[in-house]
Amino acid sequence: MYTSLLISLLTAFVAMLAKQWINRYLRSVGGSMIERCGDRQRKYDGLQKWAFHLIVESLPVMLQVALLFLVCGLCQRMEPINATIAHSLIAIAVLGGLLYLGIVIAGISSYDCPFQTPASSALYSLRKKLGPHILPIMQLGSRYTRLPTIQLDHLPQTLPLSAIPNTPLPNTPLWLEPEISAKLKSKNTNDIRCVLWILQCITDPEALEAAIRLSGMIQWFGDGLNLEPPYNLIISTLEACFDPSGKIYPGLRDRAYYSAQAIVWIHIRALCALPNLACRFPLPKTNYITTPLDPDLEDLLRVFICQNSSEILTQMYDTSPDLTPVYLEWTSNALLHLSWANRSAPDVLSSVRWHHHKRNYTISSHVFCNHLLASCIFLGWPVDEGVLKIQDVYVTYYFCPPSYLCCYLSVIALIRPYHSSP
Amino acid sequence: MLLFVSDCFDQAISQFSLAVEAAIHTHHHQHKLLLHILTNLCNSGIHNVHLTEMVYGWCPLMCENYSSPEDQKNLFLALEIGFRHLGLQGHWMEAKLTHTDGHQKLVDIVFHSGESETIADFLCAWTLSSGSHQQHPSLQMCAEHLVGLCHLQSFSPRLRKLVIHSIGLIGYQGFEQVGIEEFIRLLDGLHVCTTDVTDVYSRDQWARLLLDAIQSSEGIQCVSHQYWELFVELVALQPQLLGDNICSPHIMTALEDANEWKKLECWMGVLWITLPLGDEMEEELKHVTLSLFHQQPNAIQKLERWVEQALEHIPTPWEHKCKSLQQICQQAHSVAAWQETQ
Repeated sequence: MYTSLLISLLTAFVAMLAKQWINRYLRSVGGSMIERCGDRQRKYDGLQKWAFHLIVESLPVMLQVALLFLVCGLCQRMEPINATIAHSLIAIAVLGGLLYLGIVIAGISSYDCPFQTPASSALYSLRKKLGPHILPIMQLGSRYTRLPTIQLDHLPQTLPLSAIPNTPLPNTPLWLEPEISAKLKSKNTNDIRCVLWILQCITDPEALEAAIRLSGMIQWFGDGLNLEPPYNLIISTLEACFDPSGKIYPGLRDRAYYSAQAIVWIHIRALCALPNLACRFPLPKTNYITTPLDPDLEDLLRVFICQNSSEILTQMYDTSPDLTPVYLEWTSNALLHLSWANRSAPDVLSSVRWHHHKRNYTISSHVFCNHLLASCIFLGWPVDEGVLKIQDVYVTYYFCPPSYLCCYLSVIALIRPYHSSP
Repeated sequence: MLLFVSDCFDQAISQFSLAVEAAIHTHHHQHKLLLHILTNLCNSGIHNVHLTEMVYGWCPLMCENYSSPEDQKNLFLALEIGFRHLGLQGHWMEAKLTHTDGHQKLVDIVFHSGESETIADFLCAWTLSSGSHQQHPSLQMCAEHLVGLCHLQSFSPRLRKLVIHSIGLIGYQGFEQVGIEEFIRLLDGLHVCTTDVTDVYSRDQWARLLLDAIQSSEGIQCVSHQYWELFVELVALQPQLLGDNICSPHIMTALEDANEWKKLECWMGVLWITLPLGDEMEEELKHVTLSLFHQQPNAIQKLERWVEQALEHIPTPWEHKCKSLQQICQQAHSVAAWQETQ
């Protein structure tokens, strides 16, 4: 009985602490919008990493243990005093125990069962670990299904460079310092989770548009992340910008532009991760009327008519002076990614139709840098995946281009009113 | 190797350069691809010191693997990427080029093409200097080809400027072996004037070159009057240019005998400014000067102007000599005035 009392008090103590931790999670740190959003995502990641849910879920278990000790102690104490009362207590305790066991079994048998308990979750995890051969009874839980996630780590990698004939093989340089790489990975992970959360949880159209805008820039499928972009949602957003005859609705230019950019980008990123993965994110067949559109969007929508990587490369290389610097920068980065994705396919690279025209406009050094690196890939020079983070290095360590900053700010500004715990 | 630690742009150029070098060594289909890439790079219009250095490094490799018209185009595009933006502003560039024996093959390929701007690109590479490197040691090789440029109808401003600079660097001896007549024809086509040789080093080079040309066996006859005038202008601007090179007084008598009064007025200007005079020489100079003034009355103003210009820079001991020339000029003026009144 004393043990029961101690455990109850301990449970109350931990519960108060948990309440304090949750308050800390919900508290805003202040600062800029970027800092607030980043802080929220970091704290959420911290909850996952430190298994916060286990601590919280252990509280009912402790109460259950305390109750068990109390019943045992009470029965033992009543036995010498009054046997009838003691037997009644034991009978009620057994009934309660059987009821709890039934609830646990129900929880294990179906993931959809509302009577989930910590014990059923723990047993379910045990079943997953030990396998159905050891605990055949747990087969009952086979109805539990989750959407399959891509496991990039387990997929075969693309052909090594040595597979390309007649390519010299000098030592492949390490394109990024490990420290910088780790920082970029952390930032990218944070960005992807932010965007996914908005796209999955927020219904406000403006917030969605801003998140879609950021989707056209972040490194999807990179760094071994298994997070899939909501591709169909973005495609439907693009389709909703055009009427059945293919004309754009008034006022929806930006939404169409950023959706199209995100679609092309996700397709290219999928190609970079694995050619087979790109089949799951194909470019949609479109029939949009591009004549009244601005050059950027018109140029972007032409990519959708491309049949293969070679045509996309050709299309992206053929930049005209009418395009805006921001779009040119994005295109050069996409070109670099696409070239890298096709590094093991010399036939694709060699079939690119080159355009030579005297440029009467100045390109930024960053665009030039991207073109140089893409040219390295065309020439069969060995490059590792770090080369694809040049844009991020540039943004994170050198300067923040207006396109990125505006995009990021708009996302954060829009999610602020909808901020809630995950 | 770590990339993008400090300067991703330069590192990208380095990697690109390595990729190009590897492509040059491979077989022909890569050269065509390289042509596309270099054309686009060229059209991008971006210039960078590091890129210039890299591009110059490709040239020997391209010459070694030179086998098709594409290779020639690649080579010329490489020169264009590296050097087309240079050459008009001055004789200095930030890029630090490494000259090798392999670069000598460029001479024949570039000059035989007859592409004037490519020749200018090449001359940029071989003649412009930076803090760490000077012009190519084998620049003399170009003398033969440079005199061939005399057949060009007209020079672009950039090519003209670079050819003038190259001639100054090579010096008269380099062209003497090739043939003085072609050299003089090239000079006549270039129409060099003092504004073309603005810096101290170029003035020094050109003054020595012209002195050697004038004092050569065919100099009096072949070197045109404009170069005599250029010579004296340069000497007047910087009297110490010639240093220990003594201007021969025999030219003076030869010119007088040949009745080359225009050239003689220039030469007299040089002698009055530079020659350390003894009494005997001074008398002879005065005598020839007076006969020159008799033949060319306009020479008085010119000589006065040159000497006045030179007096600003001339060492003190020579002031006396120049002042005596001024006295002669005043005498000549008064004689001319008296003749007019008569």
